[in-house]
Amino acid sequence: MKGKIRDKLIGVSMTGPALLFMIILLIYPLLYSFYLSLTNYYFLEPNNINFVGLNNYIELLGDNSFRSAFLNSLLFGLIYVPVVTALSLVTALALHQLDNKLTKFFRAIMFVPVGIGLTFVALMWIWMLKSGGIVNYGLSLLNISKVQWLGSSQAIVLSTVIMTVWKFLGFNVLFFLAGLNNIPISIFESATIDGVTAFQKLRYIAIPLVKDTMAIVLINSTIVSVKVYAQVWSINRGGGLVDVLYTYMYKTSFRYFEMGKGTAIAYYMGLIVLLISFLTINKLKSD
Amino acid sequence: MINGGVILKLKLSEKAIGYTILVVVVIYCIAPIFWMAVTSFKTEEEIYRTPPTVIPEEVTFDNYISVIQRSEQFPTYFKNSVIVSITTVVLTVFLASFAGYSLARIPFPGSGLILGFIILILGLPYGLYLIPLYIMFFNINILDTYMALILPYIALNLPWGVLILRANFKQIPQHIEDAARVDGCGQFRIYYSIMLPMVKPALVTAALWIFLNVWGELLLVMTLTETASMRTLSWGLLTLRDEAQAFAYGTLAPAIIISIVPVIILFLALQNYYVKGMTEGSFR
Repeated sequence: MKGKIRDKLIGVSMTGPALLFMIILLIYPLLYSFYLSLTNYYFLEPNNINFVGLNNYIELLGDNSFRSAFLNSLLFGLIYVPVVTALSLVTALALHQLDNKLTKFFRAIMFVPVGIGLTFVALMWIWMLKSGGIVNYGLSLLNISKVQWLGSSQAIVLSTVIMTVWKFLGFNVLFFLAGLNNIPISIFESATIDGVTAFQKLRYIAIPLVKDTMAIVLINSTIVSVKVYAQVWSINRGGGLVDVLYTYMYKTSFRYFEMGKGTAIAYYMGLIVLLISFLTINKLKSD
Repeated sequence: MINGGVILKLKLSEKAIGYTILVVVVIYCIAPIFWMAVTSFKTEEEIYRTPPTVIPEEVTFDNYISVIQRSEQFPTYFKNSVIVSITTVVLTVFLASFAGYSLARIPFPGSGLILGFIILILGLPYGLYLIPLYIMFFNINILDTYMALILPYIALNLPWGVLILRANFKQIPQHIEDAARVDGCGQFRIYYSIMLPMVKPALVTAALWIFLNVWGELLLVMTLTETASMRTLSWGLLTLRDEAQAFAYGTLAPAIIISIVPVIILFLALQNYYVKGMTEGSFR
């Protein structure tokens, strides 16, 4: 008995420090955030704080800047999530079917962008997508007119999709490869013998059988969409044309110091993530 | 590893489609890095020339020298990134392996609850913590210090680290631990001499991921540090770009390359560890 109690004490003390970190620096701020979102806390006048209930949340719904930030994030998500999911599934299938040393090498290359921080990713792509940059030059060689990749809010959203797909493609490919590996290879072998085309393999074998993995990829990609920040910030540093949820939250909280409002924005973002995760899991469970 | 090495007999058209897709994707993945690297070795004049040259006519190391020796801020940014990243990695892995082990192997009251919390926290955007952290750190006067970054980074990376290590510890067969107990090993000794070495790949994987997360992070740096002397590469490069006249990429390109080279090297060198970890045990 004594040994058991001692063991339990050791268990608690081993978990303890990590737990302490998370409680002080995550759980407490989370709760404090929630409280702040119900107030009109203005950082430069901290003593002038009043409880305003759900006012921040309601005001935000009517706030044009918030709406446009939300719409930009939404537009991003609507393009990014399907594109990255489809592209990484197709790529993973290609790698899976053509398994050899060369494709292993390809896989390694594809994964490199995953490690590169989004700010660096953005800087590299901005250099390529600038008016006078190499991408436009390449387009001109194909007789396509120049595109102002960074010139309008839609273009910026599109460019951000390009950057973000670039970064996370390899990551999702690995997920899908794991999922594809769970499919007995004999299914693919029989399909090949039966003369099934590549597209049919994709549609009738791969997609239905990687449902679980797809859920993970979709949820992850949604989280990525909500967290878009560094890419947009690197383009205009909060200077205007485009705000997404995160950048708008940052500006509200640390430029205008309206932290009550800022925390409400953050909570909206958290809600969106929870909602989408929940919906995705539900939908895929029932399919 | 891809599909267990089974060679499928595919039609020629299938192979053609497959390889075309892969080649396009690979070019997509390499192009920005390649182009930035090429730019970094060009002379200022050649960088802005139209039509642009794909292979530099004149290779120069001037830009690199300028960034390393003549720039005042770049070495500081680099140093800060290194200090913050490595400290965070070491401390987080240390704490996470303790917690992961005890959550996997030592049932104690509340452990399930703790686990639930951790999973819940994972998906939330960390902007939720940002404002209170700023206020808290402002009040105890640690804004704009290494701690202002390291402490939150540890907290932010712990949930994931704990989960990964716990999953790995759980996979160790119970009988190994039982045998050690029978031999008279105390709990801590079991952890240190037996369990820990067995999860080495997971430790390396976790360390790598945490390092990458911290090295490239922007939001916390922007918010919780204020002076250039404390800032890291991500924010630093943005500043360098904006301060240089009209986004002069002559000095920026080598800075970017230097910032991402450690990442790329680590990634390629440690491939064996994390690929296995990612695709096998870790997502139960």
